[in-house]
Amino acid sequence: MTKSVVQLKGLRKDIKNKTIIHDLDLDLYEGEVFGFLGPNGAGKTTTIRMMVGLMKPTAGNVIIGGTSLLENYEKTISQVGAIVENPELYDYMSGYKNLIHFSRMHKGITKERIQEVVEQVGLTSRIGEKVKTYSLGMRQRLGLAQALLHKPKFLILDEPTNGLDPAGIREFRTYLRKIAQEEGVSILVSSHLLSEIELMCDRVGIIQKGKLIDIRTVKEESQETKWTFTVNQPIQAKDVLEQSFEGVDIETGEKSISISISQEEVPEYNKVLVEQGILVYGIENTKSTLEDEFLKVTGGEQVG
Amino acid sequence: MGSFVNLVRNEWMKLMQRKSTWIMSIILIIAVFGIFGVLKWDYSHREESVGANTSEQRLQQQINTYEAQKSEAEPSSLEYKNAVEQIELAQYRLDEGLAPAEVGSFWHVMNTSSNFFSLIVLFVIIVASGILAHEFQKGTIKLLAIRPATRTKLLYSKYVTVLLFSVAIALLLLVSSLVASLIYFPYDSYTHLTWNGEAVSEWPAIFWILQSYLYAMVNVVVMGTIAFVIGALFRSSGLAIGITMFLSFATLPAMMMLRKYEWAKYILFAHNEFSMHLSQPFVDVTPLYSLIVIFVYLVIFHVLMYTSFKKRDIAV
Repeated sequence: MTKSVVQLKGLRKDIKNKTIIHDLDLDLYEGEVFGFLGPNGAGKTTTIRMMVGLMKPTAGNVIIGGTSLLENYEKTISQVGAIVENPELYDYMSGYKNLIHFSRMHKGITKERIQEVVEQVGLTSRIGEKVKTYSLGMRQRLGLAQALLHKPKFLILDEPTNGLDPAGIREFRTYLRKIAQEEGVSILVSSHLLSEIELMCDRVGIIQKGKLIDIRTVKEESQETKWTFTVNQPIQAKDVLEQSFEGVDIETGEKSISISISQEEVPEYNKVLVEQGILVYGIENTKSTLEDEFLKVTGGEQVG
Repeated sequence: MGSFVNLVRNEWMKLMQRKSTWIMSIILIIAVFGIFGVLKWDYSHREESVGANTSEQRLQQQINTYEAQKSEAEPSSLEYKNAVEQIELAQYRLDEGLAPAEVGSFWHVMNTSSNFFSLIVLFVIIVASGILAHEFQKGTIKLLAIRPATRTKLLYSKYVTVLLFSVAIALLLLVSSLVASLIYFPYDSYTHLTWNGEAVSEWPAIFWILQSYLYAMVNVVVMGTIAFVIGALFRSSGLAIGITMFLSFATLPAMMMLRKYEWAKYILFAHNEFSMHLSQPFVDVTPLYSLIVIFVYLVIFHVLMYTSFKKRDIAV
């Protein structure tokens, strides 16, 4: 789990004398699903483009599986599978012909391997049909299939759940976890669906204005739960609780108070409030989601 | 090397899977059969007027015409050289009793089939313009460029595919012309003659046809390369088709005007219509000179395209 598969070292991109990506350093590990999060225009796609060789970095390097992308392109890139933005495939050909096409660009992909991947992504019944008849979800699956054909060590998925129905997303999530754990693949997922990232990823990196401003593990986030008590007198309720429980952090709202406590403590807090004559109308778990954190960190700023 | 062959196979597969490729092939076949049908109808109505002369009389007539041309022309001019050649060839036919290709005979019609190369040039321009630009327009270039094939290989697998397509569609023209000629026109034997400035040599008739096809292929390669390079530089198939089509139409009248200047022979478009060397060249140069000029231009185009394609980021 601690072996790093991908290393970004001081990655920088200038376009027309303007720095788009500022000296990015990042390590991605074997068997890990890493979430890449950022508002539009923050530089997610530019970073991904540099990781797959579509763009040349102005400075810095990308090391994948120990080899440098800039110095040993063919060997390095052969360990990467990717969907960059939408999975644009040849819609005038069948799904199968598309996979044959991409398989010819790698060494030693057998017909059996193609069949195996088709089954894995659940396209067996429609693989012989032209891609133009596919739904967006099916294209997404075919896109995933082409990224997996050559058993990459590093998988990059840009907005992968775009166009998948809820069942498809759940299935996809399970599948990603499976290949990460069983095959030790390192996966980088970028998405604007923050809740998706939260459910899918082990770690999340937040990028803003071309700078990686925060990296955190998702588990920590989930533990930090918040409870909201809807009460008639929030200010008094806060005083009461502060007297009974030392050092507790209480936020007051117009008709409510929010406290960061564990589930076991909730009845005790409730009891104190009721005993002190404060009317409790409701208790709600407002787990602080990554989305809140994300908006907090980026200041809720959106570009474009 | 194996990987390059696979890339070409991929490009060929994509080309064959496109409907437009098949539509172009069918248009070519229909054009050949249709126009040969019209020719047959035309020749069958013309026979009465020319039927009176024998082929010997016509050869003699030809010699007289060119003798007149020769006496009027400057001895160093192209017209003079051409007249000498025509006289030598006609005289040889008379001496050896070799009939010329009669209008409406199998080999005569076969030779006119090289006129269909104007259609082939158009089709090759369409294919060459789109083969790379489509990948950019549809965004599929990303999935190509993130594979272990260098950009150089990607680029040249496409160029090789354009060249293969040019050869394939020329072969389709040859085969459909053969079939159409066999159906419509009577077969008769014919010996082709060439003049190298000193002596006349005899060739099988098929050589005559292959030579006119090969000469016509030069223009196909030139226009195909221009379309490919523009498609790669601007990443737009429409622009590449537009500019190349414009060049293929507009340069002929322009060169007509410029041919009298000494420097005209350094211009690509004085040479790309290489078939002119079979009758009268545009400017006073040898076929080899034309090939060298064309080669130099093509190398320049390739260098331009290659440096631009390798350097630029792919952001689609």
